Amino acid sequence: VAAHYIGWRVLSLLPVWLGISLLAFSLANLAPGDPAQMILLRQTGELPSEDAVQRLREQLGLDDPFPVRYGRWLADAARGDLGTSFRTGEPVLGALLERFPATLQLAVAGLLIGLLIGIPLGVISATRRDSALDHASRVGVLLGASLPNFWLGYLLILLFGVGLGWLPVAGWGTWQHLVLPALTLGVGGAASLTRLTRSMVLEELGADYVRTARAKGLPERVVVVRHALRNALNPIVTLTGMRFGGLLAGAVVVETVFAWPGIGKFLVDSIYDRDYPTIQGFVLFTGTVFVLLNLLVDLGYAWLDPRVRLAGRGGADGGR
Amino acid sequence: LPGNAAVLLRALTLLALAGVLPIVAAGCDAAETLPAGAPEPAERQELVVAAGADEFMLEAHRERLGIHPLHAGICEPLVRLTHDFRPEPLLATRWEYLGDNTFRFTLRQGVRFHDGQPLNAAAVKHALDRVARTIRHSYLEEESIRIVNDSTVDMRPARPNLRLVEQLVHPIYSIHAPGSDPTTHPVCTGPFRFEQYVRDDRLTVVRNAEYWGEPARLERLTFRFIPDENTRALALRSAEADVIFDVNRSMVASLEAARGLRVEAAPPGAVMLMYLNIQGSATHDLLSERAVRRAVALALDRRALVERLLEGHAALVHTVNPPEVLGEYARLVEGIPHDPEEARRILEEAGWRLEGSNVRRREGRSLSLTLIPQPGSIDPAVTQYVQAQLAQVGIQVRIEQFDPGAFTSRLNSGQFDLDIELPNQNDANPAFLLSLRWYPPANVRSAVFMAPGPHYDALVERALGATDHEEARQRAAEAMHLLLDREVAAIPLAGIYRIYALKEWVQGFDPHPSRANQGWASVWVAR
Repeated sequence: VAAHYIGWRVLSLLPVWLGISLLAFSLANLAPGDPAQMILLRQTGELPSEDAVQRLREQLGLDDPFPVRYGRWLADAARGDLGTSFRTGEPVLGALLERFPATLQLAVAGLLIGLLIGIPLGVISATRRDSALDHASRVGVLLGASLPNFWLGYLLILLFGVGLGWLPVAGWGTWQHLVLPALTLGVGGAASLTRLTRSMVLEELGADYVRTARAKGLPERVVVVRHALRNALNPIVTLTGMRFGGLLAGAVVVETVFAWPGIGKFLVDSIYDRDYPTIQGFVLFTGTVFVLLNLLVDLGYAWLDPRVRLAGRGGADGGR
Repeated sequence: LPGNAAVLLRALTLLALAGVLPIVAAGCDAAETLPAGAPEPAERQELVVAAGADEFMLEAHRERLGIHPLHAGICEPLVRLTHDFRPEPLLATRWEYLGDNTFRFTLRQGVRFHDGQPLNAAAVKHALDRVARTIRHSYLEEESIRIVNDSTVDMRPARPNLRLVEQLVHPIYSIHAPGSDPTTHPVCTGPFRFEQYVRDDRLTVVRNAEYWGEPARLERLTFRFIPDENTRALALRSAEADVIFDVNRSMVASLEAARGLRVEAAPPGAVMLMYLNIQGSATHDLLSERAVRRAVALALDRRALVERLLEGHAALVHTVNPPEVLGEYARLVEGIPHDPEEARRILEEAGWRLEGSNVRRREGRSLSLTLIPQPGSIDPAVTQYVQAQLAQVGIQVRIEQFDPGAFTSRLNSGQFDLDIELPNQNDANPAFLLSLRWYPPANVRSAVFMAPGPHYDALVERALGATDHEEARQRAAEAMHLLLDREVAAIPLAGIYRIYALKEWVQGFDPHPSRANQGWASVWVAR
């Protein structure tokens, strides 16, 4: 059943992937601006001649009709060839894969920090509702959610990089370099996870089965962790998956502030320069990652919650 | 394990695996980096410069690793640009114009590349042929260079070009050693030798002890790529950088006030220019009327812009490029004074009336202009300042911001009235900008909207055809006088200083107006 379920889900990705590819190709090509001009402009720092622009347009195949270009690109993409970047001259897939590990490191570390702060704080906040700790955590959540990434990044650099000298200000390569950007990303995630965990656990704590568990004399820790938190996990997993996808799509501000050589800044520069192959390849690549993440989240539901598995077999309604 | 605990354990295992593995992987392939806060050993002649984003990864710049846009002192061209925008000997000791579009260069004797090969005519031809092949906009073609003897080469560009020597000062015409690969390990003749390049992270060079001229004083020079200007400033305040590029003027006061730091500015190498669409089509044809153009120029208080808005980190200029480019002939360009009363009078006389409104109208049409600033180069405060100043004489300005792709698209289609840009002058050619932006024969698409006409074209051609640098300066100044004072096809707003911040013990730094030509050989450390 599981193999059938996974197989069906993977197959259903095909039309989604085609839709993403068409969207990626259309959006990149519909935006105003001429990539040939941008390439030449970057070379000389000044506007190029019309002849030079036209020669390069022909060389890049930009004068072919839209369906021809889309068909050519799609056929190549199906073979794993996303084309060559107009800006860097690198194969797009190689360029994305080269930068993706840096972004993955940052996204995972940021997510982990968010989870390690957000879930425990949300649970404590819910179990000690209206206590000083709850109020403090709510203020913290408000701050964490409203502080812009770049601002928090600068504050952390000022404190740990300039003031205390404990951590590098910017750059990439060692675990020390990862701490500040991951913390910058993680704080925002921690805020939303704390808020969600708190409200979900509060909701579960008011449910009948929790009253029953308490009436049975189970210790409060067991009631909260094994019963209430467990039932609250599904939306948290959903949020985590979505947030992780967002982080992978490029934490461009954090990458720029910390000179982190990830995918985000690479994409923004590609958009500015109308580097069609890179924009298209990136959208297709991250679209695929998003879809796969969603699949993983769905599979995660089934793994974490037996009711989902039973519903999949048509044996249960998924209710409590 | 009980079922619930197992579920939680699974979830935590999943997260831990997802989180820890990439971090461990990151630690395993860690590149060599400076430890945070590590003190430098006293008096070691090493310097870390925090530059902007790494642009060497771009195809357009790959052949220019360590040369352009960041000039690390590895390579040298035949001639170099002085601070007053003249060509002076470097790898060539002299040059002469032979006639028939041909220049002869005599090479410096006794110069060796970092790998020990001698600099000779064959090496120069090899290097410049490569430039001609790989750089799309090169002024040279492969057939341009001819070896005369071991120490002499002739250059004859395919198209008539008497400004060649002034153009060859640009570092992209640097001479690489035969057989070397400029894209991965540049081998040249400069005061520094290439050591290491880590994409998006750093470029390191070391002293070339065998340098033909005065050797560099620094033993090692590291350029770190930090795109964000605030982070660069914080890196300077920490132990991670000793010099930073492109300081925003808003940070100057705080950096100057910080203990152990100082700020230095290069004389203007770029002029913030307002281009006027004087040949626009129906919706953008208001500036085809010279009276309106003159009123726009008269309405702008450029001294206040320089002194107050730009806080003195700019110079008042009347020319389209740094005045030094024209030398003494810069005085031929008079400039248009600030005179809002005169602007109002001209507009009234031309039939543009206020009629109880804040915006002038004529025959049912508002005097409303669209302004597009060059993205990433123009401070929004400047465009707002222009908007406010023109409003005072009854001209409405609508500011439209675009990303670079959309901006060039608007520019090329003439969908604008005013355009503010910041073009750099990186060579010694006094007609460089004049022959590009307002001169339709250059075939730059937007030039047709800005072109003043045949008289201007003829003056530019005289500048381009001058055999002597001084004559070229004079002819260029005459063309600029027509362009700015009579036709008002452009309005110079301010000459912009390029600002650096340094640790106080960095000595010998001499900021060049052209960042592309910034040298590091004279810099040393005196802690």
